Amino acid sequence: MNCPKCGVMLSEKNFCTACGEEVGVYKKVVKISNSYYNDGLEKARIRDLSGAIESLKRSLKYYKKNIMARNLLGLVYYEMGEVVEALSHWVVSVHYQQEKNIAEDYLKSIQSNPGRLDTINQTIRKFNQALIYCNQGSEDLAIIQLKKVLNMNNKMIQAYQLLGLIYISNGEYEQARKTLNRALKIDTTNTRTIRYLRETRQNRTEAVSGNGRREKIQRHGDKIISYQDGNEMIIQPMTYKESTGVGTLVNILIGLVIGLAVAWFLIFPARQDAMKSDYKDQNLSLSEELTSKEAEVSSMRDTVADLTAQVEGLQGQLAEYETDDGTVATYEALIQAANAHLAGDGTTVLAALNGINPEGLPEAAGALYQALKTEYGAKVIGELKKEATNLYKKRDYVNAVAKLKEVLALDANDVQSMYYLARSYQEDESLLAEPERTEQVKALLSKIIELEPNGQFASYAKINMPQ
Amino acid sequence: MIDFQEELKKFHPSLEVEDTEDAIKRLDNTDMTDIIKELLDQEKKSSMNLMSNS
Repeated sequence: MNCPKCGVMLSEKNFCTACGEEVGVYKKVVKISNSYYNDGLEKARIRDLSGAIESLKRSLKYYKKNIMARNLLGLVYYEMGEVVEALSHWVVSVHYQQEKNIAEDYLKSIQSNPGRLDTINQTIRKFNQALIYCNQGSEDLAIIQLKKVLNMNNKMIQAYQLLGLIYISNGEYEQARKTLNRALKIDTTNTRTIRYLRETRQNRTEAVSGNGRREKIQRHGDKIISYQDGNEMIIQPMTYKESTGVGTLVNILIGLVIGLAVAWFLIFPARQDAMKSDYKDQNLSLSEELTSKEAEVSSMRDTVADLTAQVEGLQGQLAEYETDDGTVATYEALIQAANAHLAGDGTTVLAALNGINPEGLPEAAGALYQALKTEYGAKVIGELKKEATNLYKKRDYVNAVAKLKEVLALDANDVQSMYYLARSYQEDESLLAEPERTEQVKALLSKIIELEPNGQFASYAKINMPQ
Repeated sequence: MIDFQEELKKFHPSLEVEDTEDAIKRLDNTDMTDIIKELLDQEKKSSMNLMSNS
């Protein structure tokens, strides 16, 4: 609770601790207002809407800023179909308390829906029109209008009451009773509704029991009652059965069953056909898309294969350049041979030259190759061969084999060295284990025969060829 | 017995949504706190007048 003068929160004291204003009476007034609000709330809960309105109005008379009371009053008016009254109170409520006020939500929910606002307006206009028709004596037109009103807003108590009043005026008490009962369900203690209902009951009782004009004739068991009205014989069921909750439920269930049957036999097949058609179209379009994607993938695969082949070709070319047979390796070996020549190392010169394929060398490189080969080839190989032969003859096969391998490394086609090497293997069994020894010997001797089939060493090879 | 015409006079046209502003203006927003405040103000004024006269 805040001070009415300065707005500061009040303490338990009877004066404002901020401005000193006397607030004892003010506090009591607010308490009374709250009590009326509680009373109004209790009444609203049991649908005593008229009583709730009275209590809430009193609450506001004591304390106009009782936001909860004002909001509830708006809600009660809204429930009774009095939308403008409801809006008025919610607007005032929001004016007094801008923040954390549920009335703002109520207003937004109505204002955010122009269709709903329009319907509310139409309902009010039709009700006013019905009232005009009543005043003009056109009650039939008024009934039509009021029925429309209640179709659009089935909580407008005034419309029920006016319709009930017209029915009473026309002597249609049963209709009046039904209409007023509906109003009574919304507001259980509305005095006008209760008064009209009482009038309806009185008139119905008089009609049934006969009030001088009507004469009861006979009764058939407990089912019907017949009476004479002037020249007319009126037969009326004795027990009119008001539609009960169970009956309503049964009717709803029957309606549901019928609705389901209609949906099952009429709507579902049509929808299924439509869905099937949609699925077919979708399937077709997906198939087309899949085919085009497959074609795309196939063409991309071809492209990848082409590119892979190109890469492999290029890698092959690169490898050729990088391997011993390649140009780079050839030039490196030639340079190595030239360096060895400058250092006077004939063996290294020949070893380097041995790794070069002279075919395909440019003219200058070829000339260098030939010059080095000519200078060192015979000389170095001759010396090595001489040493190897001496060692072989001294039966020093281990060292002889080493020298012979050196010779063959420099000149792979030297048949003499091949022969001595094969023979060394044959003479000294410790040099190589079987069967490798025999294989090596066979290979060497076969090569001699192949290289110089008519030579001296070929004939020696044939003699010494292992079986 | 209800008199239809008399009863009809008790029904009044409902206000339309556009008339909400008028409805708000017509709301009697004077409450007990306003009256108390006014009474207290009057009380203060009269006591001030008495003091100034004496």
